[in-house]
Amino acid sequence: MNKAIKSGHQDNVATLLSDTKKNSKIKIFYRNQLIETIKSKKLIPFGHKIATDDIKVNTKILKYNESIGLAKKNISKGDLVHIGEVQSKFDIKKNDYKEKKYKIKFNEFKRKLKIVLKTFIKNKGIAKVLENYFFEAQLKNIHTHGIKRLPLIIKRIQNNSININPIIKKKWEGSKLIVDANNTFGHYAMMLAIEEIKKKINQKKTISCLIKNSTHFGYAGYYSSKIANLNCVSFVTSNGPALMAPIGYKEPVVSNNPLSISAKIHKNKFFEFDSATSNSSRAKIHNDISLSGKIKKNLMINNQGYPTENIEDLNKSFLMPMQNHKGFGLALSLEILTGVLSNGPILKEIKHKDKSFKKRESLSHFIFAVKGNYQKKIKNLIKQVDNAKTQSKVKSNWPGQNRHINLMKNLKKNFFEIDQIENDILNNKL
Amino acid sequence: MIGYKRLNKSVGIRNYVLIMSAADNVNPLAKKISSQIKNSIYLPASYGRGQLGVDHNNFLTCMAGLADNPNIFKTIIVSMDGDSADWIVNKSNRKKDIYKITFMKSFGIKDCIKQALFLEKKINLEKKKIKKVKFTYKNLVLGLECGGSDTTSGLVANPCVGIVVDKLITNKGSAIFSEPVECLGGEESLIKRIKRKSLKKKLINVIYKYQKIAADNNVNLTGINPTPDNIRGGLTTIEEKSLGAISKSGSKEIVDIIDFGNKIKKKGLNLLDAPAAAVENLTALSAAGCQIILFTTGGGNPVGNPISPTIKITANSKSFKKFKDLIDIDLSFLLNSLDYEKGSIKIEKKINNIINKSKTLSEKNKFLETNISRFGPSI
Repeated sequence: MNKAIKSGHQDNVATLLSDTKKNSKIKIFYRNQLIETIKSKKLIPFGHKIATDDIKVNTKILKYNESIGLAKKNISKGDLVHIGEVQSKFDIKKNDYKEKKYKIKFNEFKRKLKIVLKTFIKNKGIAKVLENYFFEAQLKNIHTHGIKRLPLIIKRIQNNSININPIIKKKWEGSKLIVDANNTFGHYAMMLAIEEIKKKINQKKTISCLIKNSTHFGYAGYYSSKIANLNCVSFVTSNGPALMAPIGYKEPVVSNNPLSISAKIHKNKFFEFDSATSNSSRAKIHNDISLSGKIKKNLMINNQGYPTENIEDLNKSFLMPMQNHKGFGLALSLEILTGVLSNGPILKEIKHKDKSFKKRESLSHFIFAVKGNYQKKIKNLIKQVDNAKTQSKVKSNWPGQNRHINLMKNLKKNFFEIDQIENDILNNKL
Repeated sequence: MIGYKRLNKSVGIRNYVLIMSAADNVNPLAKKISSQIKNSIYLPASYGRGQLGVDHNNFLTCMAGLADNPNIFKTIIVSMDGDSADWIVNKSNRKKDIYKITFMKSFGIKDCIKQALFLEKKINLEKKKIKKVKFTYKNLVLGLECGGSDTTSGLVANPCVGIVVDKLITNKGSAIFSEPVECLGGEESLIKRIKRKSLKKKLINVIYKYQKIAADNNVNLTGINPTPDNIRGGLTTIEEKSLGAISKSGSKEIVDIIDFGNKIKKKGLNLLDAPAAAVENLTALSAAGCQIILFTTGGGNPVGNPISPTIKITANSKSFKKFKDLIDIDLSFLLNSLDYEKGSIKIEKKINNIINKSKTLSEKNKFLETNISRFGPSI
């Protein structure tokens, strides 16, 4: 008869004292007392563990009355419990780790999103723009700029730092379109500008657009690809509150101004370069911290001007530009295209969101669109990238490819997998 | 128990002459010298030149610690340039027991050996004066290590060692356990055994430091610690390994945390901050002042420390049968009863035996090695 021993009375696993075949009877002991007899469901070697209870996914595996990790999957009584079944809390790669996911169909997602937006935004035009934007962000798996941003946006609406009943002024000066967004959503101002560009691009061929007094518009690639869809090559950028400076500076000077360049490859498929000018965004850094408890190297600079990985420094630190001084220079150049050209506030004149979210940001955006018949050439470009020689483990990748792949995958499935936070947001439990 | 009294009042259980290289460039010379001197231990240097910062300091304190171990009667430091030997001597508490041979100041290899043989005569004269004294647990520093662990380590071998440690501490002796990475998952129970707030903080820093190193290199602990052989032995996560490993520290208060390379300062149960790999860990334990080390193993880790006799213990009967020439104690008969008291008595007997008359199997078979941990590059 095979024996296994428990090391604590609360344990849900026991250690085998002999090599045990599948379907053998195993006597389970705790402190010399026979507790029960279990049938093994797998081959279990000497010294390995057998489940003495049914163990649900994500619940603790207990040995010595203490947690030795979480169940990666549902484990049934009699199963082997080893590295395939247990997730150490000290491991970082959580690939196998199944977080709770909720499946939600597209129309259900849209219905819930509409309800949430309607509750806070009476302006139907703005609500529709945001609905489309968030749906596409989720489709492309851009979770940092997806519905997780909603609580922040709602806070701003409630504090009147975003104007939801704007009077937006548009003015043409030659091929230059000038927009005063009246502190409404950046998303809304951008989409209005794109509507206007759509009307005139066939006539003007090249349009530059300056938008001032706007707010955060989400991810820039959304808009550049919307313009590229008009058979243009497009450039989109924005400024923002000061968040970033290179090593040696004791305070942030410029925002990590994003820039995006898009071109249409064919229907629904876009070259979409989209990048901020910092090494990482705050959102990603916070995400890292929640996963691994630390700030990665070369992402943040503290108020003494030194790079820092110390979490305690987080609140007195700012972002490091990409390639340090190069990203700084690039961000300042983009500031010229936005704030300087539109005659809006620049750098530290832009109000940082304070705790009450009461101040209006007054950001500037810049759009540049060039109409062209370039489809053959861009396909050639993609082909050359695709065919470039790479190391065996490295896949060639052009900007926007991953977003495109995510989009097609999600469209095929017809449903989203969303996490706990996103689910709470959709169910209005903010 | 009977031992050898040193000038600094510590008691050794062995009476070795240590032939130490101050840097790797004189390892062959020190080896040659050691082969000419009876009952000497050859201690090679890993690196030693071109090291800087923390590594350089660790190397020097660790080498000085090994020379200061109570089991060492006298040390001869062999160096190329003299300076590297002086740096080690400066860190030592037993400067009077150290001699130096400097290659550059000599007339070659033969001359160095001649100098060594002259020193040997001098040392032998002093050896006659040495006092053999009776001593108790009060003068004992016991090192604790586990390597090649499997589930039997945590179930039997380590808890038995834990009881030995509790008895030792009750009788005012000292013990050092190490491998803070193998506290991950058991840190809550350890914190309860610390009184001082600052020491509690240090404990957390020391334990999480190693997880951070793994994270910085973007690797999972699983696969490194627990190692592949641990995993084959049934250990699943670092939490499981830790909960088993911690039990070898018994249940008494943790009075201090020793930085890598440093010596024990406070009597009682100490935690030493050193990486878990066996040879590095044994070296750090020996440098911290352990006269004897208990080394539990599951799958059978073969190595011992040349300065601090290392007693191998297993509760895996297969390993004991396979490695009879390297494992001193078999506790596998306790797997059914889990009678840890019985195991602890067997271990205590062995400790007395090793101190007073016999050699450990790793001593007999010369399965002995040292290596000092390093954390950065050389220049």
